[in-house]
Amino acid sequence: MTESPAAISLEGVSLAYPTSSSGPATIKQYAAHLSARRRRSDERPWALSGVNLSIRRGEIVGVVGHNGSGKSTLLRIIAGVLAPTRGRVTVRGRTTPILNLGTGVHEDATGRETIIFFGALLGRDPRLMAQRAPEIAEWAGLSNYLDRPVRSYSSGMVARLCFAAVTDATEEILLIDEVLGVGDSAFQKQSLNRIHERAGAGTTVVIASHDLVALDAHADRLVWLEGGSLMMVDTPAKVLRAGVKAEATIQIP
Amino acid sequence: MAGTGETLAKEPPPGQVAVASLAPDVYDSDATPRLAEDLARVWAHRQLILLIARRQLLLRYQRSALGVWWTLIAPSLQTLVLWIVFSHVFRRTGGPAPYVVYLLAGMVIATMMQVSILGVTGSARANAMVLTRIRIPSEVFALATAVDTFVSSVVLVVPLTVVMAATGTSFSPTFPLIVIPLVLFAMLTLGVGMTLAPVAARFLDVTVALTSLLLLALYLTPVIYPLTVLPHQLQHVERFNPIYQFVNVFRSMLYGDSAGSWHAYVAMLLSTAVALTSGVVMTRRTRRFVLGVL
Repeated sequence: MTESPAAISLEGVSLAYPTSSSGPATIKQYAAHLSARRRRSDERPWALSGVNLSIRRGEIVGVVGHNGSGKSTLLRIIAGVLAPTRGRVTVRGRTTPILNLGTGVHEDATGRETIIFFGALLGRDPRLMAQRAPEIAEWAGLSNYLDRPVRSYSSGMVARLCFAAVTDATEEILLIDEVLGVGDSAFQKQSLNRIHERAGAGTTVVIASHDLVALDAHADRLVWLEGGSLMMVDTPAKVLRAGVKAEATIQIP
Repeated sequence: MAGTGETLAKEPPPGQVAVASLAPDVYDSDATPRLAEDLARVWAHRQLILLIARRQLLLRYQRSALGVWWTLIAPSLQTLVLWIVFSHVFRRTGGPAPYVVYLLAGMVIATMMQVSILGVTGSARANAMVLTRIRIPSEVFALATAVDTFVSSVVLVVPLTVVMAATGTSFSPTFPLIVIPLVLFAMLTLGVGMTLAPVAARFLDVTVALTSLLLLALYLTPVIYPLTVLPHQLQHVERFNPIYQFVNVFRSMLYGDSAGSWHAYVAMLLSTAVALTSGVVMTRRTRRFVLGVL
């Protein structure tokens, strides 16, 4: 029996942003920037450099590293939002990103409207989302707030609503960026249980997080990035041990 | 879903739903999508486009006392101010309609030009939070903005017909055909906005400069003043102004005795086709660049 192809495959992936977000914003600044770049044409800010990675179906993979190490960039490349400058990305399966809970939320919209809109952003049928809204709100513990405007929610409530809406359906690949700390400890446990349920049903889960304790307990493998380079890919125990041994970069809270 | 790759064979657990996502089954960063694939992706998001347009329309004035009625009141008030100021200057329009009808008809097109081009141009930047996190074509937000601004502009036809009736202006038998220049002009503004959107995503300057340029276009077109106040030579030049062709055909269909000349239709169709082609080409060629700079 032949092994099925990887759900996510990165071959020599590097990414340099065309210009950084702090780059020139006006035409005058841009002209100066171009002039400077001609003198230093090789100095490109690489957010990722030569990353090779293969992730199997149903795996839960944690991505760790310092701020600015390339975790979010890696997830955006897998999501197909950013295209690599060099190398190749192949993703087999429909992808649902949870890259920033609250993205696209309008504060004057109600919780119900937000659920429908969030679902539509992810390509789900608005009528189906409207039917599912009461159950989604119940799962998030927000049934009494479903028809209230989101501006009356706390930031934790918005995040819970969005997490519940996004993870309500069974998708093939789930990308989660820094949202493991959503809500109180009970909701965090509930969220991790849902992630496990999804993985058990065949969903591939990639989680970028600083919560090493949670990743140690729940991830099958860890991907360790520093400065845009892949340092190590292995079991959580081995990666965390290597990180501590390297004195460095990863510190268990 | 008609996908190109494999999908999960497993059924979702009880109480959960499998969904038809719009993302392709296989994403390959090396593959360059063909035009037909890009168009199919945008079409697949049609429900989202309408949802965003509806949301923008309904939530824009959500916290105001008059709510969505401001969509009708705001441009009407603007036209009222222009009428008060200019009705003493331009008493005769050179046509069968009184100045207030002439002005209001021109303002339907002018409002669409200003609001739609500015809105579509800024749509990628305004939705950067979503575009840089979820794989959605930027055309979705451009189209949603065009739909929203189309409705916001066309709603002015309501006070226009009321004013026409109140002033005893005869409705032309071609009145129902006004939808043709309105839809074509909405497509033209969409194309212009999509052409400028990648540049505006990179340079804030574009949006600022565009506001002034659109004001200039308004004053270069016989919207507020009648064509007859221009010197004869400039009247001839106006025939090469595509915006004037739209305004002129729209007015003719409202209260004129013809539905416009054939060369006006050629100008409208040609300018719309050029703008839309330019917008589609620009959007496709700069897709990766825009996502990198947002």
